[in-house]
Amino acid sequence: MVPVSYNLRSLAVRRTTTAATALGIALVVFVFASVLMFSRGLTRTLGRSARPDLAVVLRKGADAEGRSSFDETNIPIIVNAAGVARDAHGEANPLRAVVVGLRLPKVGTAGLSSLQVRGVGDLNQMSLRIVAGRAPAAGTDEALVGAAIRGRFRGTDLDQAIEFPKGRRVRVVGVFEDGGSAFESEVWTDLDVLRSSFGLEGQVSSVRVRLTSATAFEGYKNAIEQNRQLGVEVFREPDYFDRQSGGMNLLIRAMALIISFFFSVGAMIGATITMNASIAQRQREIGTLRALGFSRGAVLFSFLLESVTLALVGGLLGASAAISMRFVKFSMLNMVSGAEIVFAFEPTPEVLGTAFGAAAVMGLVGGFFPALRASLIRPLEAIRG
Amino acid sequence: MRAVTLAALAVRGILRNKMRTALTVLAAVFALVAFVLLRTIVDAYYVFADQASEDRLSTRHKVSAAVPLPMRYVDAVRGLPGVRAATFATLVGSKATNHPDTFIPALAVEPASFLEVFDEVVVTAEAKAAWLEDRQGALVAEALARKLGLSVGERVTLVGTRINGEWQLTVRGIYSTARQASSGSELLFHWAHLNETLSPRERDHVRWVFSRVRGATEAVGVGEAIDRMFEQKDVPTLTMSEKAVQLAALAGVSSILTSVDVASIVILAISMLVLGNTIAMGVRERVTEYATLRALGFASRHLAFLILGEALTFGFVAGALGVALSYPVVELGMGRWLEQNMGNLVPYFRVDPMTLVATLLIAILVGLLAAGIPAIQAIRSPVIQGLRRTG
Repeated sequence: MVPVSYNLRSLAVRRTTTAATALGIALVVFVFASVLMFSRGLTRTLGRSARPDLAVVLRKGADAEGRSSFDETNIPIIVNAAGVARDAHGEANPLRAVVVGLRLPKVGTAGLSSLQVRGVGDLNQMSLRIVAGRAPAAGTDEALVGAAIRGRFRGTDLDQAIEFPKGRRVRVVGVFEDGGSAFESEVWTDLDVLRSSFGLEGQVSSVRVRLTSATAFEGYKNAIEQNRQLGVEVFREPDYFDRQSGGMNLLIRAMALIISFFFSVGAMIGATITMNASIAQRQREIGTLRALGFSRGAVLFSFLLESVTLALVGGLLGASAAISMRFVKFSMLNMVSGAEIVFAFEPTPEVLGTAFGAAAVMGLVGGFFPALRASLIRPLEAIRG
Repeated sequence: MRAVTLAALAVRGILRNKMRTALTVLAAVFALVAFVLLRTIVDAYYVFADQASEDRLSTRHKVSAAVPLPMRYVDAVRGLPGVRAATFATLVGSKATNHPDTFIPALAVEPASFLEVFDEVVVTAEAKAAWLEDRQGALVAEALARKLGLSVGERVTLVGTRINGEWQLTVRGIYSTARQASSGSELLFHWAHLNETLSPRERDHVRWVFSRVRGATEAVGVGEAIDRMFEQKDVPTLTMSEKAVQLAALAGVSSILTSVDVASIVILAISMLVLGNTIAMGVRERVTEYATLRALGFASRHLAFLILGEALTFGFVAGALGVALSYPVVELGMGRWLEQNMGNLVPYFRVDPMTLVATLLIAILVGLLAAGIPAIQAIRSPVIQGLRRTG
């Protein structure tokens, strides 16, 4: 095998060219890793805290809680179906919620944006983690704000007040986290406070019902949806969250794939050009290597290694730059609910590994033909020049 | 004469290493097609805001779209000075019973006044008359009708997604829109028909009031007057011009647009690195030649002309090829796919001719910028050193 130091030195000698090629690959890896990180963040935000044994009941045809509303009087029928889990006292404890969009001035911009507000019957039923302040007292004009949107809208920081319709002002007394889920982009308050303020008395947007097990879902769904009088639809919580992302998730992934493809082809060709030139300049050296007894395979391997090393330098650079994306918060209008959701870029070891691997593949593919050409050089002709 | 010689030399220089030239152009073409794609995505979002009308106002509940407006607000708006015409609508949102997977943006409207306020809706006189007459009639956008395979006279049953209910309608006409701005994907039907089916508490309420003012300059004043009129009432309103609404919607996806912007700059940077590298290689290989030329009496600017000329040719060829390819690839390939599969997210996906012109210019500029450093290096290196070098 040709010593590795030969390749490393060759790269070092052609500093400018090496740097330009590596930088090109670094940019591709940066974009690719960012896209992967964003995709992870998206999945986490839109599906993380979903529980398969939780059934979400919405008005038939409504695609989001914010667009759903039905009469509260239907709830007894909804919780009395078979498959619903009950506590020691035989109670089903359904979680009622009203979800509305609230237009508020967005801090740092001139415009208004839509914030999702959720009124829940019993805050204690949701296992939220309060990271600042305290839990609101039941039945009062107090609210919790999700960590992701804290301070992003007017009045949404701790100890500030959010303006509701009919002149009501709801005080923010605490900040909560929920494992990075979409709930962190919401404001949570008392069910009745929200209903009276929005004129939705007697209505609910959704009811969450805990089932005895995830397998009980199908039976429960059929039982409830067969009752056409109810006019409701039942979803597993994970499926419901999936629907929330709508085509957005698919669109972003499709776009990301297309972008990554075009970018990486560009960078791969860059690597090919560099390796080609480098090999053309080293005809004599390669001839000498062959004359010394290194086999064609050894030469091929040696140049592939050089190309992969070149790409990995770029990969390392790009991946390290991508880690800094961790500090970027990405806020976007959810097309289904019309409210704003905040996403984070999540640099997991797998993501960085994948990006790094992609760099290696670019080096391998980009360097293959030049390396093949090098291995086919005839020693005698090359040395003669 | 001399300039011609130099230009010929520049082109010869490019052709000397055909393989490298081909690869460089290929890389740049890929990058430029990607660039056009990204710019077109951004344009697709802006096209609505660009073409949105400024003299049409929409009035909705001040803080929440969940709360409808009382019907009497419509007449109150009509009575304001400066308002030429007003109408109202409620978004029902629906799915047809025989197309359960396609979302149909069904809008319940007052037909006559709606067509007056939304005068970009184009429909034949007889279809219009038929629709106005039939309380259960629907007017369907061309694109939507095509998607659902609907034709005039056909019956369709809608199940509401935002409002509970089921409505049986007959298609009375297919409409197109005179401006590109409208997505043209709606189904319109009589609000009166909807109202009959609503519960007492929902009845006689509308989601939006639309008004047309006498001129764009009056829009702001009229909008403020409308909101002032309802400020003290139970249901306060928010009135914005259509353009302002579209811009606000854009703000919602501004982070996507920013990242697409960044990505399009990154792709240019990558192609600049590849181009610059190729040109630098060529220059490095020809140090002796350049020294000889200078020894023969060619001035530094001639060398710069040679190197920049080479870069310019690269940029132009890559730019022309990129532009030629991006139209079929972006508009006919990806554009059609996106419109068909994600029409609700990117309804209007067309390559703007200005984007193509800009791309060509940018390609040339990128080539020139990439050649900057190699050209300076070539000029600065002493003649004698270049002659001395063997290689």
